[in-house]
Amino acid sequence: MKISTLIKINVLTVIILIIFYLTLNIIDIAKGSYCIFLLSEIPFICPIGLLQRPDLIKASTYSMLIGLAITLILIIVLGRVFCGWLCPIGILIRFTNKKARSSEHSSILACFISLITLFFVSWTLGYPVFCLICPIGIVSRIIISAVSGIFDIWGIIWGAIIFLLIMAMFTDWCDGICPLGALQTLLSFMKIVRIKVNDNCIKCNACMKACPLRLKIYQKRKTDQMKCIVCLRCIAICPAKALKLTLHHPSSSNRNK
Amino acid sequence: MISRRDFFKILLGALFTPLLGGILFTLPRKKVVRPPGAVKEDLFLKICIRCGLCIEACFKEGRGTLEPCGILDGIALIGTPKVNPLRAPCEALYGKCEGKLPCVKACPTGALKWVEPHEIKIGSVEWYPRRCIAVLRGGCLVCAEVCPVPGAIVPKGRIPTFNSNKCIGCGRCVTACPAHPKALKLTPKGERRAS
Amino acid sequence: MSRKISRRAFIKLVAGAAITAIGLGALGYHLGWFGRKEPSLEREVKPNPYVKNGRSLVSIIKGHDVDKMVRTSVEAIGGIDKIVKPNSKVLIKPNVGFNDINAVASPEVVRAVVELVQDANPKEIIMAESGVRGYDTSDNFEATGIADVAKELNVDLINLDKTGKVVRVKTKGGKTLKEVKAFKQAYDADVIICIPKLKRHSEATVTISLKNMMGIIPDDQKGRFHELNLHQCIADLNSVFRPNLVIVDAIEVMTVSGPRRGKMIPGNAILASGDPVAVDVIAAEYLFKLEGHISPLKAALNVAHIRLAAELGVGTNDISKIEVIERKVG
Repeated sequence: MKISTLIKINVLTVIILIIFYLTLNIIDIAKGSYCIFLLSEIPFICPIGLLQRPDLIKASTYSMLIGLAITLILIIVLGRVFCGWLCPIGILIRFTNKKARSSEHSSILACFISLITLFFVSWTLGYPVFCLICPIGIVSRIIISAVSGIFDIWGIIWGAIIFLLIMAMFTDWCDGICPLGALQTLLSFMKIVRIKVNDNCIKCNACMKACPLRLKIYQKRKTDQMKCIVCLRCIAICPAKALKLTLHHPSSSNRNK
Repeated sequence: MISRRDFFKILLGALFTPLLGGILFTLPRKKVVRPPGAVKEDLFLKICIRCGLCIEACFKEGRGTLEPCGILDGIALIGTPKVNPLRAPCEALYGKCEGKLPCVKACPTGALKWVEPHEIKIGSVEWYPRRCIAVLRGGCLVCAEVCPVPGAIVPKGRIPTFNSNKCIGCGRCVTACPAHPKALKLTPKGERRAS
Repeated sequence: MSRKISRRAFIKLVAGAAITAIGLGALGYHLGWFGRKEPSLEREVKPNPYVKNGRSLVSIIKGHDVDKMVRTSVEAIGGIDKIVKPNSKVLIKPNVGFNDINAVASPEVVRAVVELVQDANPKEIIMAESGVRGYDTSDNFEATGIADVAKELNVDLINLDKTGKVVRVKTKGGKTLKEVKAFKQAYDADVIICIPKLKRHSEATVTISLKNMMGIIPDDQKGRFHELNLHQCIADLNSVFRPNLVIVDAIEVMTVSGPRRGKMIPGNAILASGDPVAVDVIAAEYLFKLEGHISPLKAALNVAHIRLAAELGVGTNDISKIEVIERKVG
């Protein structure tokens, strides 16, 4: 499969999710969007949104915890599939991202720092600071406003400002700066959806050039597997057909180092 | 190993979102009229997940008065719901949503709590006599005509007088006021929040 | 990418922008966003057939059986068939401005009128209203029971605020308004039957048939009436949108204050006429009499919009040209 086809499919999956949210809300089967999604009375709340709000954690209902558990289990099992296929910001970043930084550095550390400072600041201020600027939240609200017959012009303007800010300052938003990405990275330590490298690899670095996070996946590093957003571009471009998407068994002896 | 320069780059990146959010949090905010059943403002801003489900419920089952706050209301308020009488009045009392409060039912985090009808007061109305047709020309008492609360707007001769302690902040008078610009504005003054 | 933009690319950009602007401009002009306005429409006003010897007939029926009272009131002045023909498009315009049962035409009276019109078998009957600004007209229909009546009798009940199509109609001799914006349903109707409730009104003094006609204009136009001159605008509106038959609900009358809250007194009467000015005079006189006014007729003739409407020829407020038919039914 060509990379251009993958990109087209990526755009399609995001658009389908947005249409899915719009339709389900309009016909009253489910309610909500990215920030919180209610399906048959179970709220699936954004884990970062929940974790910034100590008052909400204290007051959480059983159904909220069930929704949260399901979300976390999906991330632990599937890894950063959300980032790769469903995030509306990720798709925009990948379109405009000309120079991502190289992956020599360990940004697992950055993930930790990002999350810990976020929780520290929001728990001491008592205020969910990331939700102010979360670009996914902006898209979420534009969707719900549209369902409510409101053209959210201020939401669109704020979204444009945030997006331009991200583009100007960080081309590696997805690689440890976005708290949702950071949380998913840390939770991917035992995911089963992985990219496997076989012996055909000629170390041409084509996969690294195609990867939105510039990962050298053939180096078989555990941290790279955690950061991987499973976008499948490396598999598409590998000239030696050395890469494959596999389901990894946690107890398998064939573990990547 | 990481070079010092790269370390600082990582640090800046990781600190970016919480610091930016923290700074934006301190910017000035407006006082807006919240939906009925809202908890106290500082708690509200903490708990509200800005999902917009109350806005959706108001549109579908209520009058469609709620809308999300924008940048001009204060960045800390972006996405939170506010009552806009220019869209429609809030009929939590004396109207469509009486006893139902679809916004409260829709809130998944408890930022809007159920309140009894006698506890509902989302604000009160402010009158600008310099824009009021009754003051300038006479022949208008539409605010007194549409007010659902007995005694909240009382005409004294040709001119309306306002008892803000009776006013529940529904905004019907604001919606109906025919003056351009409107002679009435809905403010959160005197509101009662849920505990 | 090179910083400099080539001349060809620049010309292409400017040409594209110009074409887009012209295209949007043409589209906007065509859709009426700006540019010349279409001329306003004319409307024919049919003469009042409920006259005898050059005098407008006004019936006032006292009693308790609402259905009998309504039928007797129309029969007494000449019967429904004088205006409702087999090919008529009838618009019934009850007062449903608020969601309070005391402030609107009662469902029993509305039911009786609809059944009476249905017996005459016209081509089309619709019931419509645009309520007071700040109230949801559909909510008014539900809360007052008018929606149930419409459903039972299988007649179309239309919330004019939601239908959207507004036309501009020239008034006939209007002093303040040369043209008025009204809903298309009212413009298209052959016969308008008005069912007001007899009430006091804070700005208009009383609200009967002439004021009730404000329910066929959109909300922004209602606001304009208050901004300009309410009484004159009511008269100007009625000069072109004159109701062909008026049936006043005076079963319970709102006295002392209105139009939303007042002292409800039983009036136990139904008035009917083909002349809205005449019936407003007689109904207002009845209202002032119930309030204990010393000279109720004088007070009724003093109501500004009734006087101004008479001046425009909407009807007559000359007592010598009005014949009142009083009856009592069971």
